[in-house]
Amino acid sequence: MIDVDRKLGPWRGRVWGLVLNFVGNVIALVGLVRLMRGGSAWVLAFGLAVTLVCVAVLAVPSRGHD
Amino acid sequence: MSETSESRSGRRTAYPIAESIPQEALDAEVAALEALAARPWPTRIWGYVRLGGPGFMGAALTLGAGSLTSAMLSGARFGYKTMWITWLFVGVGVFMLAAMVRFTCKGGFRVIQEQNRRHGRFIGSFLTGLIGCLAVAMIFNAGQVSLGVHLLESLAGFSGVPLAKWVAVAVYGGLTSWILLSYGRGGRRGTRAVETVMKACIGLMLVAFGVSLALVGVDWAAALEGLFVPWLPEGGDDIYLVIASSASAVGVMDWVFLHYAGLARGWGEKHEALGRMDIGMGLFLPFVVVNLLVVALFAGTFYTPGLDAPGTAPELAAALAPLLGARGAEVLFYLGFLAVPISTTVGMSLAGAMAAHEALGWEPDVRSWRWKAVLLLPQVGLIGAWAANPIWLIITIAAFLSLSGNVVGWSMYLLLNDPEVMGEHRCRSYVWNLGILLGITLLNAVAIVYVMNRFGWWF
Repeated sequence: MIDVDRKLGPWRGRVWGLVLNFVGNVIALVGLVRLMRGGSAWVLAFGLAVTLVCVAVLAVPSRGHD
Repeated sequence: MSETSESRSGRRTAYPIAESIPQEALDAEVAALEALAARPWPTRIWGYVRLGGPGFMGAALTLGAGSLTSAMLSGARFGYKTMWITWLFVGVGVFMLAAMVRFTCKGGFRVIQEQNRRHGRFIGSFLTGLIGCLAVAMIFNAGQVSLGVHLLESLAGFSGVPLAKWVAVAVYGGLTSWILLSYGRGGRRGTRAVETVMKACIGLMLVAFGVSLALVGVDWAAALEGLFVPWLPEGGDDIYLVIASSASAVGVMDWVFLHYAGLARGWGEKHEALGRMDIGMGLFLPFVVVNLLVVALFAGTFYTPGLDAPGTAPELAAALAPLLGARGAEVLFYLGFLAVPISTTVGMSLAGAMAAHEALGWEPDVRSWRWKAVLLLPQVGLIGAWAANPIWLIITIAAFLSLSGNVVGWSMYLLLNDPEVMGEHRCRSYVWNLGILLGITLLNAVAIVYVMNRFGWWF
């Protein structure tokens, strides 16, 4: 299981996850435009997958100390 | 970390505006809340509505010229098709509001101060306090004034006595300033009085728009489709309108205001249930219902595919009024509409003053000249009464502000999930976090679509 509260470089995993989620959102919306213009659905699917994984992982509550 | 105090009402964060509230009054409120918890649901809900306040103020703040204009134009241009946006965005926003209530009741800190400490002054003081609240209050109040003054002139017109613009500006400025300066005065009395005014404004909107809709009728099939089947226009100015509708739902100012208005009421650990009910009954329901009423009202009267409807809120209101039939219904519609800018001027100015004090490290003292000056700063918008058609400016700025809303949302999510900040009161619910993250993702999407449309990449 990924520990999103571990520090990775300057930030905690949760911050990196938020940045990655944003990138996934950009890819999904660019993919949506491409699809609507007659392109393939792969970019949209990839962006949605990144978004879903990020949201699912980041929603796990912290197991930190009490 | 801010100071906290212990009492029967539990640990609470010290906030100067709440200091003059007697501890016995807060303890009595907690006792009333505990008694309510054992009562049947209808009694309990009414009790929460009576004791609530910050949530209603949040709804009154959010239901402003920007959101109502977006709703009117959406109804007139797209019919019922964009109704899904309101409940979805506000519904998802409820999870973030619950986080703000958690910070208020159990966080033991004042949120902008904590953002400064954990995430830096750029995100805390600058993006959240000065841009997300004070700048919004100053810029958007011009639109509220413009609409409010126009409505006062129109109402005076019904009596056959024309009202000079400067008189309408003086009435609007005087009334809103008087309400604003009452906040926090005389212990809890002033705060509760302002909350009551805001509740009355929401009640007036519900009655006025509800009666108007009953008079013009609803296409229920189209309305149900618009509520549950997502639809978006194909870019250009139309997409800005949808972005404005989304951005004007729940945003940074609502989050910050709910937190500080709760602190100003002296909310402590045992007020969290009241705070959550206040979000549902005071903020979510009134905001969604009023918005849907307005969209349906203008969808039913002006939406004709291929034809242009009037382009501004005053033009739309003026075109709608004769369709209501009786003069009394016209007056009621205008009175309900007038409650929109008045309550928003009050709510935004309070939010701006609270946030500016936090951002600049000042303690809010409602008797000080500094508090009064900052509180009335957005009233520079009174000159907006003479500016030509600022509605599209408001909508454009609303969209622009969506660019920073997501970053502040990230900061709030991180605080709620930080064991060093929240300790045992951190988020322990997967569903709660999921809701907050969906809200952040929607805010991300609003920002991204805004940029894409700006550069011509959106359809």
